[in-house]
Amino acid sequence: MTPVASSLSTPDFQTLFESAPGSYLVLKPDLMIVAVSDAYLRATMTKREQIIGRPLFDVFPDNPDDPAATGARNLRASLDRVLQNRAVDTMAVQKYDIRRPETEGGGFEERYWSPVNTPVFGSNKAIAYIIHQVEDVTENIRLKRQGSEQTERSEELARSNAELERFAYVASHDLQEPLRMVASYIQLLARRYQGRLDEDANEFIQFAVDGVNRMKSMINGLLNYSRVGKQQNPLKPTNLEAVLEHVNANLQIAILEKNASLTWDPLPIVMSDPVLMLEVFQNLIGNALKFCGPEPPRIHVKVVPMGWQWIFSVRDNGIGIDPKHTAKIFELFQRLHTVEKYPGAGLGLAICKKIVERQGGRIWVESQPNQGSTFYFSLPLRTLMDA
Amino acid sequence: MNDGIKILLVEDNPGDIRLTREIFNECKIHNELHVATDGEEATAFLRHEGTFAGVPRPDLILLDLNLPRKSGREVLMDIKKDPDLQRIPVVVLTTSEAEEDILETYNLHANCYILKPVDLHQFLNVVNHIENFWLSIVKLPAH
Repeated sequence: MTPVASSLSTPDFQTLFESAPGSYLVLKPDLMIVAVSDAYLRATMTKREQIIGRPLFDVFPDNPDDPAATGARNLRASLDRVLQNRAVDTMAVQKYDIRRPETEGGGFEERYWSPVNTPVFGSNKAIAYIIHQVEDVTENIRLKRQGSEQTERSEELARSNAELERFAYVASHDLQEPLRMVASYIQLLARRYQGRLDEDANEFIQFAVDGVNRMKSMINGLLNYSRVGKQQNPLKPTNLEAVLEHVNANLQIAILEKNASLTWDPLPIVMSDPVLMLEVFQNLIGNALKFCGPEPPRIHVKVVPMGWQWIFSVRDNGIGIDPKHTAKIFELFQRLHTVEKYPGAGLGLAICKKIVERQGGRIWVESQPNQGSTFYFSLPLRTLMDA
Repeated sequence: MNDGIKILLVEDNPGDIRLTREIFNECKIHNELHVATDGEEATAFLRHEGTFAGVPRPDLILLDLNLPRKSGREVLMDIKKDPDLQRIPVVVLTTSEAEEDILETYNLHANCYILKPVDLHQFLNVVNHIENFWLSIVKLPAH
């Protein structure tokens, strides 16, 4: 048999080790650093010549500014265990900050690691080396932290909202009784002393009665607003064409009075609450009728599917809105005109916003003074499976 | 023999009591308004107990649901359980629109459920209804 000439030279293990796709630090049992992979150097922002031949904890001390730093202590304990038990020791995820080079500003940077320490036995069965292998898990920890911060923030927000709603409900509910007293007695006064009071007194009473009526309207509106979504009815397939027919019927009187035309494109069936959708469309269309210009109102509803949403629009040819006010009008009690000119407590749009946002949508308007308005709102495209 | 309608108003709010008095003063039909300011007083009145020994039997009871101590609902239950009092018509007045209140009331067989008005004109309407109601039941044979 011909001996096979070995044409394979011994691999350059040093280069292989240094270029290996893992972060490795090789220590002697006395914790002197004898070898290190390039990946480890990159992960710890160090240079080979700075650390070879030096004691581990001289090179990698704990962050002095972190009073809770336990990285070095835990690592020492793990390495002791390796030497003691002559077996692999896997550490829990550790916070072990690393030094930033002076050229880049110095100081320490936060890092989290998942380390494993492995003994390497020599020919005499004694431990010759310990391989300290790490994985940088800082990003994971950061993402998790952000996630839980976000969860905390949204829970906080939910609690705060629930409190505000309860407050609005209790306030408006409890305000009804004193309001009733004021209203009834002023009216009784007016009735009882009709014709026996002077002109001033009559005017004073009128102002008082007007104030009471407006208060009544605001309180009822606030009660309605706080009741929206209180019931949390489960979402069900909602035929929006039927909803629009309903709105049309409800607003018939105003529509006929103003010689208005209300039209709509074919509308889909969406997963929603029909009562709430009725509220939204009736508010928007009602507003379009109310804030009309000199011409008879022409109102058109359409829908466009866009990506994962339905975008609904209600367009009118009314008095329009100055763009600088378009954000404000969705807030509670915000009105742009006097009550004499256009009645209402200023809650309709706030209610629409609440309903739409609760379903994961947005509401906004595009308008110019005297050029009509188009109110848009989005609803997520939900399938029956999502219910 | 009919010398007007005797009404028992069960109401704790002095403002509402006075309002009711004022309205009934303007009422076309002669009437006598008695007032009980809580549920216990109302029951004592209806049973002629204690200080209420000599009071007349009301022809109509106006009952507010939200009362201190004994609630309006309990008073209503008592009235409907008592064979003596059962036939007195009861008009329940309340500020609560809550459906539960409405349902409960009907289950307890009140004759009528009226939302306490915020408005004087609505109250006057209520009185009108009561007047018409009275005029209609007056035609029934006496118990």
